[in-house]
Amino acid sequence: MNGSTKFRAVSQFPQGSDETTAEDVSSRYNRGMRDARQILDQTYLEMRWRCLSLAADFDRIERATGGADVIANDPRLANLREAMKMIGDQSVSRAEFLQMILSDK
Amino acid sequence: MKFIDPHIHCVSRTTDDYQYMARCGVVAVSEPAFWAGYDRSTASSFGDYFRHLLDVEPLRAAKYGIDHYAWLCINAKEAENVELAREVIKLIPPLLDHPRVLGVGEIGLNKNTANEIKIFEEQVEMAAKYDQMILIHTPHLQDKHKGTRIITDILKNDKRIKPHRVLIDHCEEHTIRIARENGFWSGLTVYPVTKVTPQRGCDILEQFGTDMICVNSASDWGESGPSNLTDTYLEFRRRGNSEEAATDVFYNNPCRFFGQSPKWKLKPIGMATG
Repeated sequence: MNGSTKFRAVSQFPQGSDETTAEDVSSRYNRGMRDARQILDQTYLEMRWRCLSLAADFDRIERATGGADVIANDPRLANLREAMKMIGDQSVSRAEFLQMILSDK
Repeated sequence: MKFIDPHIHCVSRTTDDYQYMARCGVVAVSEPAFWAGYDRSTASSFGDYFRHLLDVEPLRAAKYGIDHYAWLCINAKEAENVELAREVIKLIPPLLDHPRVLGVGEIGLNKNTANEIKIFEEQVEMAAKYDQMILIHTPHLQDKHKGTRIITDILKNDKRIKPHRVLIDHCEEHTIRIARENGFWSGLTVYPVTKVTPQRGCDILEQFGTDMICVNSASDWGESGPSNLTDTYLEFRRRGNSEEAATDVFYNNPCRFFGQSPKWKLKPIGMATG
C-alpha cells in the first residue's frame, strides 16, 4: 500500500484528524506495541486453557473404548506428541514447524 | 428442556441475557453475593447491594419468567479488610429470613490469606448459628487446590455443618474429588478461558457421575455468559446422553440442592435414565 494512501480515522485513534496517512497509523501502532512480558500477561490464561483442553482431549480418547490402542498407535496423535515436544524445544517459527509436522510428507 | 443456572451474577448482566435465558428455557437462577470488580468503601455499600439482590433483581428476572434467589455474604476478596468484613457480616442475620435468601454464599478463599481464612470461619459460624445452607467459592488458579483443601478441612472440623447442605463451587479436575469424597455437593463453572470448558465439564460428569453435581455459568462482569450453560447441555447431549439425563443434571440437581431450603419451590421432574 502506498504510504500516502488516505485512511478514514478509526475510533481507536480518537485524537486523529478525519483523514490520516499510513505512516501515521504505523507509527501509532508501533508506539503501542507490547513487550514480551505484556504479551505473556495478556495471553497466559488462554495458553493455560489450551494446554488443559489438550490434556483433557487425550484423556477422553484414552477413556473411550479402544482408547489405549488409539493413543499408542494413531499417527495423528503421534504428530501431536511430536508437535508438543517441538513447541518446548524449538526457539523460533514454532507455528511454521508445527504446520509442517501436520502436513503431508 | 428446562434449565436452572445455580450460580449467576445477574446484577452484572444485561436484559439481553435475561431474554436469552428465557428463550433457552432457564426458569430459575441463584445469585450469590460476590466481588463487584472493585473494593467497596463502606458496609452501607453492601447494604445497598443486598437490597439489590433481594428486592430489585427478582423483579427484573420475573419479567422474563425467571425465578430469582440469592445468597448473602462478604466475598473472600473483600474479606481481606477484616474490619469492614465484620461490619458487613453484622448486616446479614436480619436478612436471612427474606423469602429470596437461600443461605450464606459465596464464601470461601481467594488467595488463601490469614485474613480470608479468619472471615471465612466467622461466616461459617454465622451459617451454623442460623442453620443456613452454604455456597462455597474456591480460588481461581494456582491457589485452587490448596484453598479447596483448607476450606473443606474447616467445614469438616465443624460438626454442626452438614456436608450435603454445602456446595463447593468452581471445582475442576484436581479438586472435585476433595468435595465429593467429603460428602459435599460440587459445582462446575463453565467459563470460556478459566475454570472448565463445556467439553471438560462433560468429561467430569462422565467420570464422576451426575449425582450431587450442579453446572453453572457463574456469569459476571468478566468474560462469561449464560450460553456457557446451554452449550454444556448441547455437548452433554452430543455425547449421546438422554434428555432425561440432561434434565437431571441441569434442572433436577439444582432443585435437589436448593430444595433443602423451604423457600425453594421448584421440584425435580421426570426420572433420570442415565
